[in-house]
Amino acid sequence: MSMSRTDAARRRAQPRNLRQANAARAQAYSRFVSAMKVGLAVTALGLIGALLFMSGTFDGPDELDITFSEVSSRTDDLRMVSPRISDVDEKGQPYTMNATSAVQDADNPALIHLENVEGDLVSESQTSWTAVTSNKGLLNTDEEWIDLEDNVQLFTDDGFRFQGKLVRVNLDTGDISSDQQVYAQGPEGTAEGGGLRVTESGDRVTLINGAKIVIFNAGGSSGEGLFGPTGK
Amino acid sequence: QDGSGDGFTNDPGEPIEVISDKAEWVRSENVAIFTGKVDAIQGTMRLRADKVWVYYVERTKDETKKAEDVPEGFEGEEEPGPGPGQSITKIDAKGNVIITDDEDQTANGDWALYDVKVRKIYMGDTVVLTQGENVIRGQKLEMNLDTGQTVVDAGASGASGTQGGRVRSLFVPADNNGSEGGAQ
Repeated sequence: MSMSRTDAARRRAQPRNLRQANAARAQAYSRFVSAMKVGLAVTALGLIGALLFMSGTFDGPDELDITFSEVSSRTDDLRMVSPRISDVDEKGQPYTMNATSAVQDADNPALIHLENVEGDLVSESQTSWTAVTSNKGLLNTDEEWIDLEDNVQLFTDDGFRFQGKLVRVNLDTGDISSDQQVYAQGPEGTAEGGGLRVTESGDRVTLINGAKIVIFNAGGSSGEGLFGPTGK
Repeated sequence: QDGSGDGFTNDPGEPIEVISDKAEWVRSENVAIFTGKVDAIQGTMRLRADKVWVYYVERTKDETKKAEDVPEGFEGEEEPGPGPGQSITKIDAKGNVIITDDEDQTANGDWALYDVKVRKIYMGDTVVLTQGENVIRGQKLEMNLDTGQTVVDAGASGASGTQGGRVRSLFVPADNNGSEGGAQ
C-alpha cells in the first residue's frame, strides 16, 4: 500500500508537465538539503576554529598585540610611601635620605627607584652640612650609592647652592660627583663647570672640565680691588 | 730701577671673572685653587698663569694668618694678612704669570704674589716689565699699589736675564720713532 488510492487518483488527474515540475522541485529541495548538511557542518567547524584562534590558543607564550608609545617596566607590587633611609658613612658621619615613594626595580632588586628625594650629609667635624634634593633618584643598596636626577639641587650650610642634572652620591664615603654641567651660587659669587666633585664631606669642592667663576666683590668693604685701589 | 708709570690699578667695584680648566675650594683652609690656563679679569686688569691660589677669610672674622711663603728677598716685609673687612687676603700665581692692563702695560714673571693687606704685588724670577716700547728686565719686581711705584731688582749677580746683578732697561723716547735708545 505504498500510495493511497486517492493519491494515485490525484496523480492520474494531473497533467504530465505538472508532475514533472513537482518532481524537479523535489529534486531541487533534496539537493538543497544535502548542501545544507555539508554547509552547516563546515560553518560550525569554521566558527569553532575562529573561536579557538581568537582566544589565542595558538599564540606564542605571551605575545600581546597591543601598540604603545612608552611603558615603564616597573612593577609596582612593592611601592613604599615616604621611605626614609638613615645610616652612617665609613667615617661614622650620619646621613638621612627621604623620598615620597620608592619602587623596587623589576630586574635588579638592589636598585630602588625614588621620587622627590631629599638628603642631608653632615661633615666629619659636625661643623658643616650639605643638603641635596632632586625629582628622581636611583638607589643601589648593594654598592651604596644614589644617582640623583632631574633638577638636582645641592645646598651647603655656608650659603652655597649647586644645580645639576645628574649627580651621584656615594653613601659610603659621602662623596658627590657629576660629569654634567653644574651651576653654583654663593654669597661671594657664581660658578659653573663641566662637572663636579665634592669630597671630604663637602670640605673640598672641585669644578672640572672647564670652570668659570665670577666673584662679586673681591675687594671687600674697604674698596680695594683684586689688583689695586679705585682710580689712579 | 724705578718705574714711575701709572702703575697697575683698576675699578674694585667690577666683578672678577676667573676662567680655568679646574677650580677647587678647600673650605676648611679658605682657599680656592684654579688650575690650567687661568685667566682672571677685573675691569681693565688681567692676570694669566698656569695655577692660582686665592686665599680668603670670612668677612666677619678678622683672622690674621702667618704668611707661609713670603718670597725670597722680601723677608723683611710685613707679613701678609687680611686687612680689616677684606675678603681676599692673598693671591698666589705660579707658572707663566702675565699681568696686563688696558694701557699697554705688562708684567711677566715665573710667579706673582699679591698681598691685599700691604697692597703690594711681588713678582719673581726673570721679570719683564713693559710699557709700550719701554722694557725693564730684572729678577724681582715689587709693585706698590698705593704709590703706583714699581721697583725692579736684579737680585743675585749673574742671575739669568741680567748682566751680573744689574737691571736692563730700554726706554724709547716718545718722539723718536725708529732708532734704538738704550740705558744701562
